[in-house]
Formats: sequence, structure tokens, C-alpha cells
Amino acid sequence: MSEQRAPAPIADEPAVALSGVCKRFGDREVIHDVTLAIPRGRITALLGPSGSGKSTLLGFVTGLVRPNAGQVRVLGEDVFALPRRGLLALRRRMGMLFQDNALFQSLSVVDNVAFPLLRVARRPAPEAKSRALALLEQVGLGGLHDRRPDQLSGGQQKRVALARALALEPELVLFDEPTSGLDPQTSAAIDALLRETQGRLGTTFIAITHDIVSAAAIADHVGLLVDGRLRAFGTRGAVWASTDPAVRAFLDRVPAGAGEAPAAPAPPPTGSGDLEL
Amino acid sequence: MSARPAPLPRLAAAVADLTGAAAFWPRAALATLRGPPLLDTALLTLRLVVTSVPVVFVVTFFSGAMLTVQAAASLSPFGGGALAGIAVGFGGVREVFPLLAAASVAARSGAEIASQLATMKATRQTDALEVMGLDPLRLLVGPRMVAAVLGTPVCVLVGCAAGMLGAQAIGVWQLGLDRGAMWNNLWSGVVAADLVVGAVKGVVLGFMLGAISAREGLAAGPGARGVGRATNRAVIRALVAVSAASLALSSAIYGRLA
Repeated sequence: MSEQRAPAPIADEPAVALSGVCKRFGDREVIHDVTLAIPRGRITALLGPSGSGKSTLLGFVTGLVRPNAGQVRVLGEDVFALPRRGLLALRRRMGMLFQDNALFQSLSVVDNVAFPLLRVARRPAPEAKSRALALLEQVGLGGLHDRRPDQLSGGQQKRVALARALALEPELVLFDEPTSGLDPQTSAAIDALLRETQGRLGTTFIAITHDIVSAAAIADHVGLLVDGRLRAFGTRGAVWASTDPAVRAFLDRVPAGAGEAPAAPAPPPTGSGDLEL
Repeated sequence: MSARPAPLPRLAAAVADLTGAAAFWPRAALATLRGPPLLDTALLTLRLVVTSVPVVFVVTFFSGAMLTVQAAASLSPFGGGALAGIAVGFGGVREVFPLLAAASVAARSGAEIASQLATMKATRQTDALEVMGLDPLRLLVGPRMVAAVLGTPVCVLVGCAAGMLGAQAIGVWQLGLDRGAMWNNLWSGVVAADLVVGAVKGVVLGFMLGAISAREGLAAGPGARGVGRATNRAVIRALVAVSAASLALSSAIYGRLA
């Protein structure tokens, strides 16, 4: 019997291709029949309000969340058809910046960045440390390498997480709400850093965000997810010019020229005030 | 206040939880056998022993003293107060001290294992490892399992020694028993095989409390509340499991002698 080999990735193949993907949690359908192809070598922002299913989509890409239906191809591989070892190998071709950074609190900043180099790439310690220091320099944190993550500001922690995500020179970097919890000035600085880094490396960046200003500032392509449905996907200009009422209802919440002007201050929180005891 | 779910869903959730816990044990064993990182494992083992031994020492020392007071009070009317050492030697070294030592390790180090892993889960550090293509079970659970399996027998032996010291101390200083007779009586019922059995019990109980603590940590819910609940559940479940296993081991080992 001849052994079947997986087809080699094609250069033009999208970095991420979702096909008819659905996901339910109990009775609630959080992703409904989503099909999209995210191009390589660009920044794509998946926009949407909270609870629209953005994080679930990112979970499909990393293989942490399994869809109920549909196919997920990442860097030419069918994520959920891979054996465990193949999935781990695919993940080593990705980097990810988590919403709360997910930095290892017991390690110093430089050890956080060196961690994947030591544990995944098995580089010698001096080489890993020198590469980690160079990466920290690139993200503007040259002098803070000996600190612990909890001694850094939110923006500085994002920079450390970015350096760690880039450590293994991934083909694809995922960003979960990269500007969440940051003030407008720091958000703009992180956006500029992402833009500059992607321009320098040419790596595929995918960011999920509800921050329209940030998406406008960084994205080449934009997808809009509302209630688990993909309402728009295309170049930033095309999506921004969309006349779809659902798209307009989301995008028109910020003034024209978003991404060029500083963002308006966030409104005060309007929680219900219920405290679960 | 949160509403309590109906009994049937709660039962179903409890069954699912227990099934998940049972399924975790072989995975934890496999992670341990796959060769966890050596340096992490050595440091965690050292930490478990160093942090648990003081608790174990104090708990078993006082327990040995209490057993002696009770044994002496029971035997004195028959003129056999000095024989209290024999009862403490038998029951303490074979049963009470190993169990209390393992329970102390569960309370001190099991809680630490659960809270560390739960915090890593809540802050998505375990997801970060997975996305790097690393196996959190091998990296995080393996070293902690080895630490529990190697460290608990050490703590059990320390517990036996501390219990005997507690018995001797109260027997001599408070009850006025003869120093030499008390010490001889304490050791007269204990043979080397009892200490070997204690160490073997320590290995088994260490595996159980390590696996339970690690599983509860990795199954934690989100946020600080999830971490607190996971830690609480880990300690309770480890104490129940360690007590039940201790009885089962004693029945299997000493039951034949009865």
C-alpha cells in the first residue's frame, strides 16, 4: 500500500482558510457557517463586538477550540486532521500574543522571551539570551530585561509578549485584542509597533479586536463578525466603504478618519452593578 | 447570590467531573514517565520537602504526644502506663503518622500545586505553552508528580520520627514515665519493615495527592474565584483520597496478620 503524504503548502495558499465552520457551546451557536481566506504576508484584523465569536475563531486557528463542523486550514495544514504531534509542530510555526499577555510570572522579562528558544528550539542558553535581548531591544524594552512581568506597565507587557511571540521567527502571529486595556496613547504606540514589525518581517499577522481605531491603523484586510456571522471581509478600504447596515452600525460608532486621529475617551463602565456573593 | 442548579444536572456534573478526574490519572502517570525537565523536577522536589517537612514535623510531633497521653491514661489503671510506648509505636508508625504526614503534604504542597496550576490556567499561561507547541502535562505536571512521589515518602519518614519524639517527650516530661523504658517500648513494636511499608505508602499517597492537586489546578474555572475553588477542592479531595487509600493499603498489608 502506498503511503499518502500531505500535500506541500502552496505559496499562494492563504495563511488561514476557514470553510463552513460552525461552533456551538451547549444550545448557543457562537460561530455560524463562517468561510474566509486570510492572505499571507499581510495584517488582517477580525473586528466585532464582544461576544461575537472572535476569540473562538482564534481558538480554531491554534487548535485549542474544535469546531462542530467545517474545515480549518492553517499554513497549508488541516488543523483538526493532524495527529497530536503534527498539531504541536504546526503550532511551532505560529506565535501568539494573548489578551492578558500570558507572560510567565515566575520568570524575568528576558527569560520569558528566551523560553521558547530554550524549550522549543533547544538553543543553547547564551544564544537564547542574546537573541531574547535583541528582540527586547527591537520592541523598545532594552533596559528592562531583568524585571518581572508584574513590574511592567500594560503597554510594556504587550511588548514583552510580542517579543516572545516573535522569538521563533513564526510564519503566522496571532493577536488577541492587542490594545485591550491600554490608554489611547499606548494603544497607538502598540499599533505603530505592530505595523513597523510586520513591515520589517513580512510575517502574516492576524489580530482580533473590537477596537475600530486600532483595526483602521494596522489592518490591510478586515473581517467583521457580528453574532457569529461574518458580515464583511475584504481590504480595509472596501470594508470601510461597505453599505451593509450591520457593517455601518458597527463602524459608524467612531468618527470618520478613525486611525488617523486619537481615539475618543472610552465611556464610563455601565455594568449592572450586580455583585455575585 | 448565585442560584443552585437542579439536583439532576448537579449529579451529571459530578459524574462528569469524577470521570474527568479518573481519566487524568493515567495521563499524569504518562507525563511523569515521559521524562519531565530535570532541573525543574529537582527544584520542585526540594521545595516540596523543605516546605512540607516543618508542617509534617509539628503535626506528627503533637499527634505522637496526644496518642501517648491517651494510651497512658487508658493503661494506667492497670499499672501499665509505661506500656503506652508500645501502642504508640504500633499504631503511630504503622497508621497515624504516615497518614498525617501525607495529609500535611496535601495541605501544604498539594494546595500549592493546585493554586500554581490554576493561576497559570486562569492567566492562560498553559494556553501559551500549548500554542508554543509544548505539552503542559510534561512541562508542568510531570515535575510536580515526581516531586510528590519522591517527597512524600521522605515526609512520611520524618513524620514517624517526629511522632516518636513527641511521644517520648510527653511521656518523660509530663507523664513522668521512665526515659529508657519509654524509648524501648516505643521501638519494641516497630520493625524495619514498618518503615519500608511507611515509605511505600508515601509513594502511593504522594502519587495520589500529586495527581489530584494537578488535575484540580488544570481544571480550574476562570479568575481568582476559579483559583480559590480549585485549591479548596484539591485539598479536600486529596485528604479524602489519601485517607481511603491509607486504609486500603493497611488492610492489604497488615490485614493478613490479623
